[in-house]
Amino acid sequence: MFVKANEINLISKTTNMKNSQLYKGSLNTIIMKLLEEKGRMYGYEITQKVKEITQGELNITEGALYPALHKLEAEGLLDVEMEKVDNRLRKYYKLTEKGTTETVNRLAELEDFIKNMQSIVNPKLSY
Amino acid sequence: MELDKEQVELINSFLVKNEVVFDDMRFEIIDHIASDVEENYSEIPFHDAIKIVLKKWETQIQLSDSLWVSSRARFPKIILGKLKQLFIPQLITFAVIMIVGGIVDHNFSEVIDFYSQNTNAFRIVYGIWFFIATAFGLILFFSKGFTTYKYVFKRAFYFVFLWTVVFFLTSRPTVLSLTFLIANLISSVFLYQNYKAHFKFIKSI
Repeated sequence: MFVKANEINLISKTTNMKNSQLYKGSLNTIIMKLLEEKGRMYGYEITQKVKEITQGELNITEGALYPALHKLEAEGLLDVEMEKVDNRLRKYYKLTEKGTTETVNRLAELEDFIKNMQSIVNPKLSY
Repeated sequence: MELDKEQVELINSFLVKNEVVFDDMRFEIIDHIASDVEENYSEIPFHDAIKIVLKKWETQIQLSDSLWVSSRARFPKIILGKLKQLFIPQLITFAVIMIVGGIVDHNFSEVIDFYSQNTNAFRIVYGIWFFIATAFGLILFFSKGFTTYKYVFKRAFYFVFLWTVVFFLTSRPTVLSLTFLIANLISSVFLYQNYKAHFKFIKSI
């Protein structure tokens, strides 16, 4: 489920969250979750959506986003569509059937991970 | 503020000048840069806005090299990442087959005997395969567009060609030549994947 930390470069805007290894590990799942909700998205749109949802706390850099998208595409989890928009070509990503199934699995895994972390970090809240 | 054709072309020229020559990557980066300029810097002149946005791409456009891809050529970091993603599985598969071939060579003499007795059959099968692979290669080489898939196919095909020459020139059948043959046949999977991905992209634009 988690991609190698050195493959991506996910940067958090706030100084107290600079060491964002946990976010790095979840980048693919974040992308897949967004695509599951929106149907299809293009690269820049994904970065802006993440920024918007997290109220500017998370900023996915280009160097993190595109290798992740291309990897998911190579694994057959994403499909692409090209469209001419405003004098240029735009590449939209969408989940394949395999990608949709995989998203469910990865989200379940992520939820389990969060629950377990909650139990360890804050046992009182987990009950 | 929607960027006009000239402004988009300016971004394109900048990328080409910086070796972002692969269409499948370039179009995506152009759109990202243009969207960023349009959404965040519409209040300032285009030339100032583009400078700010391109600064964010500086690291990704910087030329880097990797032995996984080429011993001589250098590529922008973001492109090198994708090329590595396409090359590494092929190289690992090739290495594994060579190692297995080496082990077989040392331990199973009956394989060499079987191969020696059927060399001509192997040569015919391989010749047919190579003819088909070459036909696919020619279609790809003369197709329009330059993608990362086309580049990877080309590089892999050079090796296929080289080992084919070695295979047909080797008079005495050895397990090593058989191993190269098998490695080449298995590389069809990767060649075809890149061939398909190139044309899928070309068809979509």
